[in-house]
Amino acid sequence: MNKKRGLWWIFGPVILAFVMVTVLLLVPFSLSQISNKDIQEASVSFSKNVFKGETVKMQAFNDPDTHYVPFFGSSELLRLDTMHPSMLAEKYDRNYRPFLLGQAGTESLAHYLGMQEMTPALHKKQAVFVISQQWFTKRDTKWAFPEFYSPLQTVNWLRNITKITPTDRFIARRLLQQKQVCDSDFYANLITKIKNNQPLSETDQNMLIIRNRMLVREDQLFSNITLTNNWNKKVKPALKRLPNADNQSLLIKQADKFAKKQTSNNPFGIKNSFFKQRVKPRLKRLAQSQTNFDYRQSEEYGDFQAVLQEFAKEHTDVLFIIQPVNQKWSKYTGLNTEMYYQSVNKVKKQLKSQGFNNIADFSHDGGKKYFMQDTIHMGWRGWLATDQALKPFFAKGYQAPKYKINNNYLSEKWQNLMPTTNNLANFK
Amino acid sequence: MDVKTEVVEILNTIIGEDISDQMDDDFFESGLLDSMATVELLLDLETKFDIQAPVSEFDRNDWNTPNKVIAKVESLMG
Amino acid sequence: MLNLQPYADPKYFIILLLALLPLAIGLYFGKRFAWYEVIVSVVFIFLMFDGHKYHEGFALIGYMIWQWLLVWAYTIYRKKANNSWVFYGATVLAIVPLALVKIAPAAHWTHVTTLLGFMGISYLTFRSVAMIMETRDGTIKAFNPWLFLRFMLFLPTISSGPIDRYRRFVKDIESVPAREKYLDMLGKAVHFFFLGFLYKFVLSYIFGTLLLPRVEHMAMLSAHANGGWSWWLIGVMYAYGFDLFFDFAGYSLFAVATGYVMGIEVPMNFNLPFLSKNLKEFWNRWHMTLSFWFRDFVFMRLVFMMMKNKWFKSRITTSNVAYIANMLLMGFWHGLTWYYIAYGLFHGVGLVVNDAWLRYKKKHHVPHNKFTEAFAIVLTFHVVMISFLLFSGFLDTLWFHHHH
Repeated sequence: MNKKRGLWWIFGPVILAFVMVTVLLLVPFSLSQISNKDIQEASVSFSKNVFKGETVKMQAFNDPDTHYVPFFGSSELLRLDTMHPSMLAEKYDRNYRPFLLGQAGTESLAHYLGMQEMTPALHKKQAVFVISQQWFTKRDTKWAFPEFYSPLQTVNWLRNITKITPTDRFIARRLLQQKQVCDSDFYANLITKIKNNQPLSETDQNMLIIRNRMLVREDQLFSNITLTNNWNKKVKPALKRLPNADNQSLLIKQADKFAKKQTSNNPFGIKNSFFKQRVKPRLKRLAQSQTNFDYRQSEEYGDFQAVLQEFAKEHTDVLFIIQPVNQKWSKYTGLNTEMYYQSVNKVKKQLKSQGFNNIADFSHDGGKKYFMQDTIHMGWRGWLATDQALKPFFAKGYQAPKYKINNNYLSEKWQNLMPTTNNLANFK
Repeated sequence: MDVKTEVVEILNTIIGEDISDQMDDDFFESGLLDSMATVELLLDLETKFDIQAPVSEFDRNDWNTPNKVIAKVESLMG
Repeated sequence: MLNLQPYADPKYFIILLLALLPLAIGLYFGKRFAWYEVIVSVVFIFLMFDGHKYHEGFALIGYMIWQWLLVWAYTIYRKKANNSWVFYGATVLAIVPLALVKIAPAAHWTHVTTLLGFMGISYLTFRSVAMIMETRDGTIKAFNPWLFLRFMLFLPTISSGPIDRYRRFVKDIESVPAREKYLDMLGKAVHFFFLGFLYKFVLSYIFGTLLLPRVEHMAMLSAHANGGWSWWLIGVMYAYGFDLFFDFAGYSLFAVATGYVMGIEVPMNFNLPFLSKNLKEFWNRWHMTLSFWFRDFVFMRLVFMMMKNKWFKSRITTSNVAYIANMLLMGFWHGLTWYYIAYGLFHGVGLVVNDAWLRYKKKHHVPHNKFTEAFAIVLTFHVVMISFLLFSGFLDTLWFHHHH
């Protein structure tokens, strides 16, 4: 080692590194290079980086050639099989391409935050929102929240607040319940202010601008790094399997053919591979395992209201899709059917009474043959039914909606309301 | 017999080879002596020279070559 | 309330290094601002144990008073007499708080954990027990209450080591390194900080945060169908093993680097452990300050006692018994669970087998070349990795606590 090292020799490189990183993080021009192919892959990648970031999403929704439409949802979107909306849109060159936003574990709160950084993509545009009743569990288990939490979204949410609304206060309270948010003094302080209805100060706003710039830069540099290859592995082969003509009866024939072959090892109509790996080893234990499941009272109804409010704010024309559960399976596991339909009614009441009338309700179709791919996710026929709802929705194009937001749906009273027909009719 | 010859003899027995030609070689580095052998060495020195050499006196940097051991023994004998 | 956990995030490093800047400037100009160092340490220790961790803070204060009185009293006693039983008693009393904290989770004594437990109790106990033992041996002759506190509560190493030794530490803290030497230490400190960043915030993140949960999940799923075994366990083993190393080695590098900035040559904890050619060498390269502590204060003393009192005829039996006792104790120290104890036993037996092989090799002139060395490294690495899989507790979750 060189004995003559001075202080500069030791600390010079460190200082230089810090200067370089600071410059890199704060330069005001974009550093991202995202190709159309990257966007195509990202649209079916379910990458957490993409979900949490804004760069890739915004570039997709600003694409002049391809009309990407946000599809919000959860684990059902992962079922990239032949009849999946992404495949059909690509194969038949529809006037839209789904950009899938969601994964196992993304619920309304994660979506609400995600919307904060893509408001231009929602503003007077169309979107699809797939609802799973499984989100509305009684005990509030946001187990997946840390996975999808994004500081960038939080910053954007805070910056989007011009006048603090009840929804903002509601979200602030919800965020402060998450450990990850509380752990950061910076965010916890600002969010507490919103919760207490105190506007953010000038300094706060400036801090947020700096934060935002750093996080956007980080996002530009890293969110494009996706390790998936779903487009080549899943979409391309599916395109070959689909009939050449966009014809409903041909598609049904094809779907039934695949479904029949792939659900041969069990009486529930569950896909063979899923059954073998996930169900069979504990089949016995799963019998009557869902008798106590209850989706009727949940804080999720409040989170869902925040999502609706955001759609209303941006005048988004949304199609809601309500997923069924596999009837044969829910019979085996003892899921309470009445409870299930009541929870669906509660969601529908919340939607319709506020003017969200584009609803494709498949909740009664879980017993139809080949409708489900597994226990709670749509498959072959289910996707085709979805397609029947998507086609006219996109054919009409954007229709200015008339939403009337009712903040009572944020209340604990609504969250805990037992959705009997009477109770629902009386709730105002 | 003087201290030097006796120490070398003790070391030779414990290590199992003649070390008289490597009086300044670090026997921890070369793996000739391990913790076990160290204790044996301390015990042998204790009986042979009637000195108290507790384990914590044993700083590896002061005891790592035959010559250093000899010096240490001489100093402990006072 | 501001709470700072050591080396947890960039904020900590910035605040710490800014706080240490005056001290470093002083050292550069040949002065050690002892008072300033004490104030910084007190403030940082306070920030570590404030807020919702306040009970740990009180436990630390109580613990320090206890150890302080104990070491002080024993030093006074030792000047007058040297009864073995008093020594054993003092050692036991020094270990009691740690032992209670270790037993508490297994015995479900939650109140004991809240009352006595705090982050770093193990590492403080190693330091005070070593002091009592060296006082007995007469190598530490006086009790300096001031130096005792500075040694025990030395900020960079308070929570997880490396475990320094009193006499070595005092030599450093009572002097100022020459400028040439201090510059060299600063250079190393910068290097260690950045190597630590790579280890802890990049590599450990990749293995521990990105990979490990995935392979664990896959192992869980596939083990269901295969009676508790799965090929994914191999993935869990590598991911956990590398995470363990990069996380702890990274942390240790931060501690050493911070020590260097403060002009103290804190000993290194890791020396490329995965390049060891046998298990014995591994323990000379892995968590070195802990294994050297066990070597000096458990293994060698045990061997000394067994040989002196001639418990066993054979030298080999003596060392085998000492290996197993030493590693078992280390296992117990990690915690009272079957997998920590099995881990200790595994390494104890491993060292016995290793020694037998070394003797055989010496006797029979086994061929030795580059290839056998490479093979030895790969083999040792895998033996160690298997032991880490055991240590991880994942098998426990997988086999005994997995209800889904």
